[in-house]
Amino acid sequence: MEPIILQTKQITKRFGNFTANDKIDFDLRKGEIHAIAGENGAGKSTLMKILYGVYPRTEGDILVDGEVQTEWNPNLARAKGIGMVFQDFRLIPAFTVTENVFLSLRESGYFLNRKELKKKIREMSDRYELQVDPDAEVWRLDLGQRQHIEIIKLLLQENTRVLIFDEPTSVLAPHEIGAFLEMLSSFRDSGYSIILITHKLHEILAVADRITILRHGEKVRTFLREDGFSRDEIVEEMMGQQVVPPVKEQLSDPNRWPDAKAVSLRDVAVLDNYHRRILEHLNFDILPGQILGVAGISGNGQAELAEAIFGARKTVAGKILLGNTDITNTSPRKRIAQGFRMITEDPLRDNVVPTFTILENMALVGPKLKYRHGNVDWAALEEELKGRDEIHDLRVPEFSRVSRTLSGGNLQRMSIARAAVSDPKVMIACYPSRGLDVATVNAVHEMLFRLREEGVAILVISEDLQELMEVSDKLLILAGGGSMGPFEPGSLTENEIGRMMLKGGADDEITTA
Amino acid sequence: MKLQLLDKKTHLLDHMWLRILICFLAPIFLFGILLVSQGISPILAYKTIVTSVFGSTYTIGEVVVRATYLILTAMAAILPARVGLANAGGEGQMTIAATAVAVAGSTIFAEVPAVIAVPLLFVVGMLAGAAWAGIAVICKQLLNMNEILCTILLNYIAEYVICFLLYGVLKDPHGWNYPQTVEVASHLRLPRYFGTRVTFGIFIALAVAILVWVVLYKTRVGFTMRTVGGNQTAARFSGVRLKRVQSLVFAASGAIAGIAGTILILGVEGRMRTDAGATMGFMGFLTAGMVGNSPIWAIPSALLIGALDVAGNGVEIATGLPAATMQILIMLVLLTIMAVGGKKKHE
Repeated sequence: MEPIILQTKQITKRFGNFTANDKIDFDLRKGEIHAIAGENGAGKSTLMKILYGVYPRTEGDILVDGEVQTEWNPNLARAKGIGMVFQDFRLIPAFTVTENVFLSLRESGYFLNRKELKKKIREMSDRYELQVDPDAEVWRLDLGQRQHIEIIKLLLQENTRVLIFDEPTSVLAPHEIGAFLEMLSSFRDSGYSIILITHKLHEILAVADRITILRHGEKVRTFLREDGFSRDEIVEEMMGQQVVPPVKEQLSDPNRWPDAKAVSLRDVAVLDNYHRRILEHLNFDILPGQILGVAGISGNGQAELAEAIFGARKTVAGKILLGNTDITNTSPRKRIAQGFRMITEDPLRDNVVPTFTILENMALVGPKLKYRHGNVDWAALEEELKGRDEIHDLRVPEFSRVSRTLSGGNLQRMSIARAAVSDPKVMIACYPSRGLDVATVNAVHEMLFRLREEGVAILVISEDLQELMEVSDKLLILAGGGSMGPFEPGSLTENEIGRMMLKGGADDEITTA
Repeated sequence: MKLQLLDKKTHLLDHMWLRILICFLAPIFLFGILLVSQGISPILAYKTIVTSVFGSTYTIGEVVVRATYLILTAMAAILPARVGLANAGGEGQMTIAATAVAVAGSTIFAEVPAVIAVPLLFVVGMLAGAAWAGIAVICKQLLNMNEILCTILLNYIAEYVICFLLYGVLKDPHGWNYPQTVEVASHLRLPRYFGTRVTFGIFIALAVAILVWVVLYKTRVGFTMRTVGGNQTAARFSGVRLKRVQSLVFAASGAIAGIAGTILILGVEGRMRTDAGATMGFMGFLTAGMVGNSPIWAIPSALLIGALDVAGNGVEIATGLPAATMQILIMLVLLTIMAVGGKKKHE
């Protein structure tokens, strides 16, 4: 058996009274892919951050090559050949790929030998079939390509032998995931050891040699490939005794809500952050009591579209209507008053104040606030929230927890629940299930269906085609600088949709529903 | 039961008192080295510091006088900091307000009874301070300029504008040609206490500090402000009018610096001189920074910096060192503050 490179013994990490990791034993052998799976908040990311030295551990030992490490931080980890590919890429958008790679190589001296570095990047790129052009400026690249740069940075460090990936596929388009997993296997075959954190089971089943399951901060079990992975058993270990609520699909009837208004886009165009017209000639309606799904490869204007409908981004052409009222380029404040709610792509960045408690964050466009003596009536808010099913269904963390100490998944559930209890009229949900586990995804879908029943006009942006087919009444496809559809989801196969997403143009024979 | 004590382990620098102590002791040690190198006994110098601060009720009163301004100019820095802006212009806002109050108090309000005139003079000071801060707001919001640089530059402009006025149109015709305004009518001056120069202003300063705390933590306005300060994007996505909130808070902070200017004139000074209130605005910014922009902790912080300022005069006389030397001690304090005081809590 190959030697153990990296190992933890009885690792415990507490944040205040909260135990994120409880006595976890974990080890990584040379040339294996060891996946760590678990629900949101199971402690996966915390464990990785301890392994990489970002968080100091509360108790327990970290061993490298069998030696206990008393001092441990990211610099020491890098020196020992352990590298981490972060979810949020640490790249400078204005620089080229080569320049970004140069920044990360500390032994490269003070002068940039472009020619040689470019050659190395190309070699590495060819060897593992990465698509990295050394001369491309990073801001022009999509998230998948940026991820490749991060990987190349690590591979070019000669001593790298462990690669830690934290939810690597969350930034990839569906068609890129297969290639990514193949790449992981080829790293393993070249002798790298890989830790893969993900909540997507089929990915793990495809590549992992071992799977360690964490639940509520504890290690529950490690599965070995040679024993044969049982999907059901793995799911059971991940979920514990939880019952997975089944998705109930209900039919919508647009005529049931006479007062509800549709949001209509008429020949709308928006710019991206680089002042390029990323979308134009947008013509579609979001009808009350209907879920309009938006499919597309990431970076095709999803975020810009959502922001434009919410009023957080100016439109440069066309009109946006709410019912018969022209609301083009009104402020988010006005639109919030009209019932617009938005769950953004990155709740941590856009929806959450890190220094606030969960309760305080729930007050930012949550239920209608009551005031007492000039202050928010916090007790009344807490009382009201405790009575709402959404808070329990979406497992919103304790109200007194400070947001900054919580995982991304926790905060995402909080912001989804917050939008749900805020009496919305128009709901714009960006990637509502990204990074969430099966049970929560179902709860999110339930919530969307319930809002639909109440006549809310809903727009759902997702990269998960399966999800869109399940929840959408109509499907819109963003590609090639515009939108196609809306289509009846049932009228298209996944392949047809995939083709449109890639090509950026609808085939002539496909007619709009 | 597991040992809970281990969890409670906090970073030493999390203790505010300890931070203040370090900010106090480290510079004294470093300054001592400087004194020794100049052949001066640090013991004598520090004895002088202690006696010049605690020597008599009068000297303690002098500390309180300075703390009065510092608390207010610290609040003028704290409020904008809570909405993600930096106001380094307390100095200019305070002295412009002082000039306006000195003029108004010696002309249109000179014959008006104090019950009416004094509150109105505070309004004058607040409006003048807010207006001066408003220039920076316009530069920031309309021209997208950096507010720190704007406010610092506006301090210089304020200084020169005031000099220009004091040597020109505002000069007291019966003032033996000194660059100063006509004295404010005596019935408009604030009452003094304990035979010192401490005036009613200290109570106003303390009240403002408490009010700032209450507004920040106990009102919906404060909640909006903390939202903006905590995450501007989240504030925008929750419908906060960012520019409006930031601009109003910035103007309000100018008004608070204006209160300091009003107290300067109606309290100790009585008239505007070219160097009246000098450095108090600037030091207020540091008073606030030293305690991580906490309105309540700014009060002891103001007393400490006020004490160092008072001690400066005494040391100058006792050691024979040039006036500028005392600035070194104060700057050492400020550098230590930057190294220790501003540190955020650790995870």
